[in-house]
Amino acid sequence: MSDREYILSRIRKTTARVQKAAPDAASIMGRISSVPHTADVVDTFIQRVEHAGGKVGRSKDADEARQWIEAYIQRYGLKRCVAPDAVFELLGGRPETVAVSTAELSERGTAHDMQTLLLDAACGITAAHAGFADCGAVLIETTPDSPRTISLLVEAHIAILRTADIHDFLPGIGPFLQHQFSSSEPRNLTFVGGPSKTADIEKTLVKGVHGPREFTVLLLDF
Amino acid sequence: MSGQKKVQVTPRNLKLLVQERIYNPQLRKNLSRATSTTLAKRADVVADFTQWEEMRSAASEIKDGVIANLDTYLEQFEENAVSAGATVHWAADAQAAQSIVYQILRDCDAKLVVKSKSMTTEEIRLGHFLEEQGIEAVETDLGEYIVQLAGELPSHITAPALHKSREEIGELFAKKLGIDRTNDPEALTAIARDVLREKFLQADAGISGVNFAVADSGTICIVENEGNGRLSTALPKTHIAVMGIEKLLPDMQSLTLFLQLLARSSTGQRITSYTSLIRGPKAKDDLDGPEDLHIIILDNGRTDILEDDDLRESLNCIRCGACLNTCPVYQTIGGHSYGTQYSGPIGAVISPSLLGVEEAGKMPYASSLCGACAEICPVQIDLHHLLLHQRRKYIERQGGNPAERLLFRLWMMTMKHAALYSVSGLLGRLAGTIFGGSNRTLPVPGWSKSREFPAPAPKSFKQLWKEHGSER
Amino acid sequence: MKVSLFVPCLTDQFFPQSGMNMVRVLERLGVEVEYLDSQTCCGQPAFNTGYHDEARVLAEKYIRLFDSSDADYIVAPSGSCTTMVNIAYGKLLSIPEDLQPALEALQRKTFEFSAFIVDVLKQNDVGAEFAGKVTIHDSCHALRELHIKQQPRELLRHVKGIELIEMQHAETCCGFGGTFAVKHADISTEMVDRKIAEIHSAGVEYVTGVDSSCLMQIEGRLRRLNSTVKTLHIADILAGDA
Ligand code: SF4
Repeated sequence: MSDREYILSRIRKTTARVQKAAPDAASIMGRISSVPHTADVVDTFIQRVEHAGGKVGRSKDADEARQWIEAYIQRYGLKRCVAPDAVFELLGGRPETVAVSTAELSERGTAHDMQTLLLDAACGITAAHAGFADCGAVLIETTPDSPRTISLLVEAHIAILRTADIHDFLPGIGPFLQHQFSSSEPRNLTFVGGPSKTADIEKTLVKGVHGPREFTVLLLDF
Repeated sequence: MSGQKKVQVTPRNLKLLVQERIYNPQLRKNLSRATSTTLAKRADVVADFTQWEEMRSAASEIKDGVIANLDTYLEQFEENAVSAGATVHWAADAQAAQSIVYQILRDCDAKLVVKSKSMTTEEIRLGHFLEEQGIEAVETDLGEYIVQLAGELPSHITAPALHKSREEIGELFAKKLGIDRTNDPEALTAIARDVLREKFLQADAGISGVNFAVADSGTICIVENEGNGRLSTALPKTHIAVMGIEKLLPDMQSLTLFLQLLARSSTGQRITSYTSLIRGPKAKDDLDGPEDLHIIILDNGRTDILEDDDLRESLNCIRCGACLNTCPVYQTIGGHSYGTQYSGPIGAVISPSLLGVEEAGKMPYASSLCGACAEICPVQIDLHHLLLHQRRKYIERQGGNPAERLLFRLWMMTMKHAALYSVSGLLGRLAGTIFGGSNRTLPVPGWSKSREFPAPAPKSFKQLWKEHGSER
Repeated sequence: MKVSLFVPCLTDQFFPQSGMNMVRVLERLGVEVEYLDSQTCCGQPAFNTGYHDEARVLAEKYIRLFDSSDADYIVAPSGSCTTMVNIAYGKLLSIPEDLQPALEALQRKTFEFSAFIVDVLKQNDVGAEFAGKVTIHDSCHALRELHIKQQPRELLRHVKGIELIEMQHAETCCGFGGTFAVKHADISTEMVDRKIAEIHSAGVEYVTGVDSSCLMQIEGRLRRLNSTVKTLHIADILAGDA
């Protein structure tokens, strides 16, 4: 008997005896689907991102967003920003600092070259599908033009989020996720809720343990 | 530290291991700092919700249902994971899992492996095994890295190095990494970052655990703060994920609930820095990510737990570690005293099943049964009742200590008969008068070393009641 | 109303005064009290240690005995022993089928002393007086199995002359835990030391609670440490009229 059959047959011995219906997850979740929020959703979101060690910027139009990124890169002494073309489009163009699109990254050659570039004082910018006020996280997705490492090997990670995409409660994203994962394609999504951090030494918070030291959400009010 | 011979680390030696640690003031300080900080943070963020109790019972209900239909969910998970390009393996025990991992690593000619924190791989001693096979397996979670350098077991499910102070870690780094001595957490972390970043960039494979496995899409979910989990699953060509059979959830909607419970309960965060949802290896056009994803589904004693109608609910555990933090015994003795990977209340509940009664049957006795664990558990596992259940199983299987058994037999016989009981009460009072002295203290083995034991009262309640009756 | 007393063996042998004080309070509240003389122990020590067969013999004896009473309620000066009957007998110790109906009936009418006064008799002032600074320790079984937290406090607050001071971590276990206190005496003692540190920093003269077993652990250590703080069962305070 293979291990698979062995394990499944042992499980079946119990499940056949217990005879309990599968949980109706949707209706159980329905019981807790809303959380009363007295505070403003956007304010709560901002406050909770900051509580988790992140920062939040806000912009009313594309120009302001671009300038904000420009200033950010200056402030942290970064050398360049890397983003998918789609993000630059959203920003109405590239910031003036050295900006590299991920499409160019992949043209540059090997994975190693890409890593070297990201590791050298870069700021990675990704778009976020949604934000969550109850926990201060955003949801980002890996795509061919938004690789895993641009939010990971870099010094700073900026997530661009439309203010309108902030949900008040994490389970609000359930249907979207269900849809995202309904095909048979590979998928890679990440909730990002702060910079890379650890408290493994005496519960002292240290940022940038393996990944970005800075995590910032740039809210687009437009 | 000292040249003293160390007690062998096994739950059989629990009492000796406790002896080694309980009077160590530094350890106590480290433990109490870590547990009280985490508990306070947890209380803060749990207060966000007026519905916390409803969330707990919803989670428990979902988990109960999944575990009761585990075969169906596992098959569904496997099918969906495979359709997205993952390879799924099944391992009946630790050894089987080890050899599957070894096979995969040999096939891709791996020399260096980066590991992200996983209790399941600790359970099967995977790092140790790989080292024996000549494959370098580096723990990349800072806490795990520290205990790996120290050659120790993790002392907590979610905070492996919580037993160590900054001084102890500074000393360890200086000795093992040949660096200048520093005790600054910031500097120590930066050193680890440099060492480990090199490993990430060179690693041939990444090994991770799985926090949740979503059945209806074949997705695995990895929850972490440092980014080492993401790096381990983004840079190397091969990703191996090891999960216990019990990790399943039905769908994404339920997952969102469990994420809220896990982060809040484990570290007192509203969400961790990184919660990765991974379905299959890299997509064809992705610029990074593993070419191959292997998922190993591990039994290793879990189907024994499943079979047991009482213990079954312990499979609902999401390994948040809250029951450890809140346990007054854990706070007093620390994780290493238990002598096994899983410590604290949940460790004492599951270890006798995972390691056998011979090895770990006495663990459930290291508890005052106060129930603080069950009160905090985000999935409402009745931990202290399960401890009682494991104690019963231990006595049934082992017969218990013969002298103790005899004592309880005699005691029961006495208690069964009111007359005998009264006579023994009289004898007790007599002993009290003889040995008790003016202090009215009775010497009781085990008790009297540190505490006075009261001598029986001059008159029992039964006698006082009779007198009371005649007064009326 | 008639109450049958469930006097745990520990109370019977070591703290009979507390049992009698419970009787005094109940009688003062106009309750008729009976005591079934052939009761012994509910079986908890064996049960907690894993000896279910031995515990079951005593559980059966207990159920048969109390089933024979026509009292309206059964009241015990212990959260722990009440838990044994109300929770453990039913859920954790398999009791023979034929005794189930009797057990369920007993469970419906069995109460811990302070909860009985507040929740059943709906009284919070038993007319007691007590001079002294007192803190209360929450016994684990009373607190977590029976959800007894406010009842004893409400009663104590109404005692004339008392100064009730909450200590930090009142809900943390004292380290007794039955045979645990002996099997793991080192851990048990470290735990009670933490409790005692809280008691001392609360600056009280007395510690009270609803369980003599926890109080025996705390008292045993207080005496060894030559502390001046004394332990009193809640019945001892509530019976006080001087
Ligand atoms: S038993 Fe409950 S509290 Fe303990 S680790 Fe598991 S989920 Fe967390």
